[in-house]
Amino acid sequence: MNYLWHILVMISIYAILAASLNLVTGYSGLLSLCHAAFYGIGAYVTTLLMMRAGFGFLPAMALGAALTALISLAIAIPSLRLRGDYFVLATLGFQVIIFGVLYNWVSLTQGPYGIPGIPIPVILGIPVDTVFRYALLSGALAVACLVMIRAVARSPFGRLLRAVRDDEIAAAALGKNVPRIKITVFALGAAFAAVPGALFAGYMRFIDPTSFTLAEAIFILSIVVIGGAGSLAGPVLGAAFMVLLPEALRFLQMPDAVAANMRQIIYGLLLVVLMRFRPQGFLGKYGFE
Amino acid sequence: MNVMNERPALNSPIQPEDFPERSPLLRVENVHAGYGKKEVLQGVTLSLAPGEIVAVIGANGAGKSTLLKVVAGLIKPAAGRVIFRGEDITNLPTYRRARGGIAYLIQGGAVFPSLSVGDHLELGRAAARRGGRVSCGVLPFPALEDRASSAAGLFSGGQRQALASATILSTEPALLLADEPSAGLAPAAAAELLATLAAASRERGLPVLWVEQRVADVLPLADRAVLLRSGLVAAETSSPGDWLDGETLAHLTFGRGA
Repeated sequence: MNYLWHILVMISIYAILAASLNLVTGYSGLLSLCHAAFYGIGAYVTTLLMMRAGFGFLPAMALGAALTALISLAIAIPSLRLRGDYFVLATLGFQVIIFGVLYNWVSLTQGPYGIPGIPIPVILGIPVDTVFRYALLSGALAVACLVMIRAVARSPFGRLLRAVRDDEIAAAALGKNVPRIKITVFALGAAFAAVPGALFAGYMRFIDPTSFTLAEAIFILSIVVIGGAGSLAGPVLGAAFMVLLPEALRFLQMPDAVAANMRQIIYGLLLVVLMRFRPQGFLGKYGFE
Repeated sequence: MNVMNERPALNSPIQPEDFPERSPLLRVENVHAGYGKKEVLQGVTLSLAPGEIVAVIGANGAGKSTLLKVVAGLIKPAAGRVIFRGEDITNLPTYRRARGGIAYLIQGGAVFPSLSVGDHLELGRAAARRGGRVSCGVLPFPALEDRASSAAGLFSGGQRQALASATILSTEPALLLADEPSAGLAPAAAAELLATLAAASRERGLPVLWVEQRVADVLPLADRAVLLRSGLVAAETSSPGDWLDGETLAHLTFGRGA
């Protein structure tokens, strides 16, 4: 049974990550390769606030979200004036820098050794000390984040985001301050990405930089694309698919010697086939152009 | 076609005689502009009076669209000034100009494919509010009837262009920059779109700087016409109808005898 609750925790974490990136990439059309950096900043800030400043889990998470949004401005303000491809490269650079900082700022992050012994989150006096309880906590936070993200997407601001994605010049011609809209949504996406960071840290009770690499950023982006960019339920479905698929492949009867590699190959192949026959993802209305 | 007759006099049309000292609404002064090292406009000067519809014509590459982009703020001129309502706006970004009432209708009419007609008009109304204006929200375009909730991405070319025009009009602009709103349409649809747009502008007293390849359709709708050739104003007329004769036009456009 714990196995199922574990999967629910992982799906919750990736659903929030994908839904927050979907605000940036799906609704606003900003392809970003540094979402794992914000995920990692959220995890480290929450951890350090809990361990060094004695904060509770939820206040540490909230502060972590605010700080992540602030740090995201450092990339957003200079690079969002760049066009398309150049912006993607700038986010890639930022992702590499953040990994480098987490890896090398040993006095703060303990670098490659990681931070062990992260305290168990305590919510309203109840320690979240079983996998079942953790599944409840992460499920509840996922629902809260998804409801908030849905409210943003359906608000007049959400309409602006889609307008900017569809045609920046036409949006500017309607009096919209396009760079400011992009910077705002980028910071908002970063703040939401800090929440699963906190969840991950409290769940694993150990973090190190290898959880927040470029490969992880690409994984989050694939969830968005597979689930359907710009749709509300897409990131949840995409997260469930990407978390469950490798699990499902475990049950295939394969000789032990090739099993691990075969799983990787089938996994990759399914993604290629999906993109060939359903490029807009499971639930998306519009593909990437 | 039936263009709304019973519109309330919220903002009565501005007439040239309201400005006794004949101060122009828009003045482009000796503008040089281009793309990178290529200078397309080589010192263009022109004015637009309140309520006036001015057709800008010329051959491909003469600088018509570039001129509109300079006024809209999409291209920064290398030299020269743009003055709107007596204020130098040369360094203002596009969105600030739009809030001030300069509406730019992008070539071929740009719409937001994932937004509905209602969303478009909501964006337009928000722009009007932001600029302290009231949008009447009338849709004078027959192509848009009964399409209020469809996504614009599913529209035909004619519907898209009508929607782009309707959205721009819903911002209740003080000046319309129209860059070939009929580009790519079949002749009958193009003529209808132009006539509707001109009628809606007249009815609002909205001045228009109108770039158009369909010279025969636009000249009869304009008060004045300006001909650009090689980045310069080569000719101007207050009776644009005179240019309708093909030989005159070929002579003006290409600078050779007919």
